[in-house]
Amino acid sequence: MISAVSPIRKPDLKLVTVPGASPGAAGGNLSRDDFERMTTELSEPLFATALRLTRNRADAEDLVQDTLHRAWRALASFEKGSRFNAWIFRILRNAFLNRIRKARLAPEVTDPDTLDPADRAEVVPDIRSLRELPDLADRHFDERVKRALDSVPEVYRTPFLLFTLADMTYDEIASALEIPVGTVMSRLHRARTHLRERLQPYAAERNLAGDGA
Amino acid sequence: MKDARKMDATRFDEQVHAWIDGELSPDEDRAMEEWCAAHPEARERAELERAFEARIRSALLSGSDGRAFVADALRRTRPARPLQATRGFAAAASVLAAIAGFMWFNCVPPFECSYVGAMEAAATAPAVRAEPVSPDRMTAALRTIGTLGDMCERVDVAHCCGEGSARWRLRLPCGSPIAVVEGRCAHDAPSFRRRREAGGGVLWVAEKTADTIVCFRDPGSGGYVSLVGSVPSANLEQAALSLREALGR
Repeated sequence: MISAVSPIRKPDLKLVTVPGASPGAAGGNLSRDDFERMTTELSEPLFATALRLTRNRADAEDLVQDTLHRAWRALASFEKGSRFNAWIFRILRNAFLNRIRKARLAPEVTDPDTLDPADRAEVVPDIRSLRELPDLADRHFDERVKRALDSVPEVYRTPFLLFTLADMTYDEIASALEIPVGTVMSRLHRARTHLRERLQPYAAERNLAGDGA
Repeated sequence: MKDARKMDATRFDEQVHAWIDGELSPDEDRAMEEWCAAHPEARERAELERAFEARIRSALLSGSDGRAFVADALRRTRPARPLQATRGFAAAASVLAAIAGFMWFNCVPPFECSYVGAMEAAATAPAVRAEPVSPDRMTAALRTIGTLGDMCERVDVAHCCGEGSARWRLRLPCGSPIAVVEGRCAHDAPSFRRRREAGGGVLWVAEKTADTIVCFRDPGSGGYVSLVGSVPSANLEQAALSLREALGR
């Protein structure tokens, strides 16, 4: 068990910055090398976010390629003092929306109030029921998480990905999605609730398997 | 965020995610920490939440192979602009090279034209001065290759040391009239495209739309002699070789 309470922000995430600029970068001074270095540092979360947005590897690859082209072309628009993470993930998200529009895919239900009315109640998820999950290091759990997240409605999934993988703040997500900060919080909460609901059977399976062993 | 001064279990539950997300104010942070210090079950809950979030993130990042793909994607992105510029530049350079080649091949100014133009001008320009052919070395040699006219003319040819270039008109055995121009300076060398070794020396040959010009260096004077006429180049080259041989005797 823990010895001190220091949960706060995800400690394993890197803050990607440009040398000589803190904590963001001077747009006009962002060189090709800086761009490539920072993008490379973000490559795993960038690609993972694209995968979970598109739920398809080929589409994710197209999306990331499109994002990098857009970002490179828009390098001059990168504002001094802004964070590269927020900037490039915002481009990713816009590119994703653009692809949906171009493909004329029917967007998922976008009215959060019509999605799971039960979620509107402030139900606190019972984290204890999932206490075994963090210790599950097998890839089956990884796949379960991905499948579970794929089933989360896009309106909840996107802010969750931007927070969890892109390391964006609530404010940055609110700005990128053009929604109030309070809405970001409620959508994150709902995404987590969805996710846990879908992982709960797996936790139960694992516990049963453990009991039987 | 709500006022941090009054913390209770409900408030803790409401704020625990914002707390582990690092989104609370310093006062709210402190209130959460104090609550956890006094309530071990709350502290455990917060740690479980954090561990769970970290596990979810690690699961989402697993197996994506994003680094390899992004590295490839960056390579594909990198040459996009420079390569386009290079391609554009290469295309423009190719067009210019083709134009220059065409001009060079066809002796379009400024390629190979100063001397060619000068010789053409010398062959047709009005004489500055005309005088009866005298029995000198050149006229003797000219008589070996054709029928010489009865006048030697002095013409102005800027590219061939100006006034003083001499011109003779004669008719080859085949009946074709030609002009022979003698340049008096050695430094105004021909720059004709076709330059070939023939008969122990060099011939410069230019074929214009109407005239052929064959030039050689006079072995006696060191100046250049040009034969100009509407004659097949082979005939004119043969006449030039004969004339050079005669001048060298």
